[in-house]
Amino acid sequence: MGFVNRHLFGFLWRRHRLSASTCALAPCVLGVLVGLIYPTLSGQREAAKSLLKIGQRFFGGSQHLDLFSALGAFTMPFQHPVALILFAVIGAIPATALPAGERGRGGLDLLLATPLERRSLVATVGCFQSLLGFMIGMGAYAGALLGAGLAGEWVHIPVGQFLVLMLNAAALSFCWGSVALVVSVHASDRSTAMRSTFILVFGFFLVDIASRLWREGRWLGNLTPYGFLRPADSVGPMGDAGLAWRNIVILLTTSLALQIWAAKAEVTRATA
Amino acid sequence: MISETSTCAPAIHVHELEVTYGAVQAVRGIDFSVQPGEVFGFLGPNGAGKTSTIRVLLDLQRPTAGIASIHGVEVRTGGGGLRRELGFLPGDLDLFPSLTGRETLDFFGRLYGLPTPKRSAVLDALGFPESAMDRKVAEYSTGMRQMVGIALAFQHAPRLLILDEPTTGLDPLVRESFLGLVRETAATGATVFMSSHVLSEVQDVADRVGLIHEGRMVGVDTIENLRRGFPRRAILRYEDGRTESILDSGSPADLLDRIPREGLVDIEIRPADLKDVFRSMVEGEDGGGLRE
Repeated sequence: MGFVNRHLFGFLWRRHRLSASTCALAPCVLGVLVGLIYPTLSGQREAAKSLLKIGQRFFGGSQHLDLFSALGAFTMPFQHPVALILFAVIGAIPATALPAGERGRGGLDLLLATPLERRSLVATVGCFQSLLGFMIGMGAYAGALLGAGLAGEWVHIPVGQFLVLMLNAAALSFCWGSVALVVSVHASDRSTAMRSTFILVFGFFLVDIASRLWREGRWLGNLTPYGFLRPADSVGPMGDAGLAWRNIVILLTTSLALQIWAAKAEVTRATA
Repeated sequence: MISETSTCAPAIHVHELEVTYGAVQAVRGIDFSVQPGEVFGFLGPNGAGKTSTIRVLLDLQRPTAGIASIHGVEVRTGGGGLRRELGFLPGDLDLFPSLTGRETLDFFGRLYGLPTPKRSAVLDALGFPESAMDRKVAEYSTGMRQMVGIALAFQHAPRLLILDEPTTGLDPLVRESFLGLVRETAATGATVFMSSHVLSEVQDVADRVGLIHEGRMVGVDTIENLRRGFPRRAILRYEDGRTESILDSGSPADLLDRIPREGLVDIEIRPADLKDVFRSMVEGEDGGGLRE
């Protein structure tokens, strides 16, 4: 039996395909909505921009990127607060269900009484989370391109840079999934895992918001996974093109460490 | 992963096994062995430590102390290769409600990575309707779920079956069919380790029983040997409606001497059953929570 169990992977897909697909589609829908309202929004740009400086920072704008510009508006699927929360939540869906949810329900005993190894179970959930991360990243990417196409602003979109952003978003999602998996491995049941994950997802989200709004507190962003997805600082002519790649490496390295932690913790648990 | 197991070693060997949950000592240094091809009844009231012991055998629970081995391989190190030889039915069976019966059996069959030659025979023997196989488990009655659970344990023809309270939720007819299935399986050379607090079904099928109470083994022997120490129970009925019961292992003459005769209208003498044995060994006369 391989490290990732394909039968369990298929079971996870079957079980979570609807909720995961809904989450993955949400940033895409967001991008399309931005595409629909952008032509109106850009007409009021000059009037609104001075009033919404704080709002711009809240939504991820920076000195490099005006969110009322085409480039800025179509980074929304990658950095709108709803999208950020969904990046975090999508990987937590399978993690809270397995192992914690099945441990509380009793289904984990049935699974682990088979030849399935504990580390294989964790690796399979982790592998599934990476698929979900890729799906939601693709959702955001598709949303940005579709929205830009609908608004007739296609030419302003650096497709290659957005592709890197997609990978960055996928890595962020995988990282949050890995956090949820560590929580799940230590939790006795689904509600405990969900509660702890919720606290981390929203607690760190508030820290990230603080890092965006408080100029001197930008460093706070480095304390949270959210801080390693900064579209406004990494796209466009003023952006740091290498930033997204650095963030991807940091997020994936952290994810890998968390996945190893989760697998070791599950293997050494006294009670399955 | 160890997949090669010894054919001459005991099917199950447990030595000085202890399981502790925080301050609660669920299993307190138990020892027993189950031989290949044997049907072993693991008896005890609720909370006696049966499920904790079973969870150790499946490596679902790490023991605080002691050793558990299956076919000569320590459970802790045997891994998936060892578990491939086992069939398991948990006491609190929780199948995945979103799967159908067929999908459940297919999924677990694939996890075992083995063919499932006994699936149809088991479902037929239990009288599980074929038409229900494509309904979601969530729509099943408790008994139907239990039948799927039994099929799940038996379907890949394992060398060792570990069944925790297997007759829970089964009606009397299906229970009889299940016990027949246990006998047939044992006749093929497989070992059956079956926990229960229902004495009658165990004494019908088990070659030997182990009695566990408050985490301690209070007896391991064949049913006949256990009964031999407690050969008869005398039930006495008196004129005033009183009924008294005497458990006796002495000579018939001694028994007659012990019986108060005043007002006695009837005596019924019958061989001691397993419940009598258990009562004597662990709880005086209250049965220790066991059901007949």
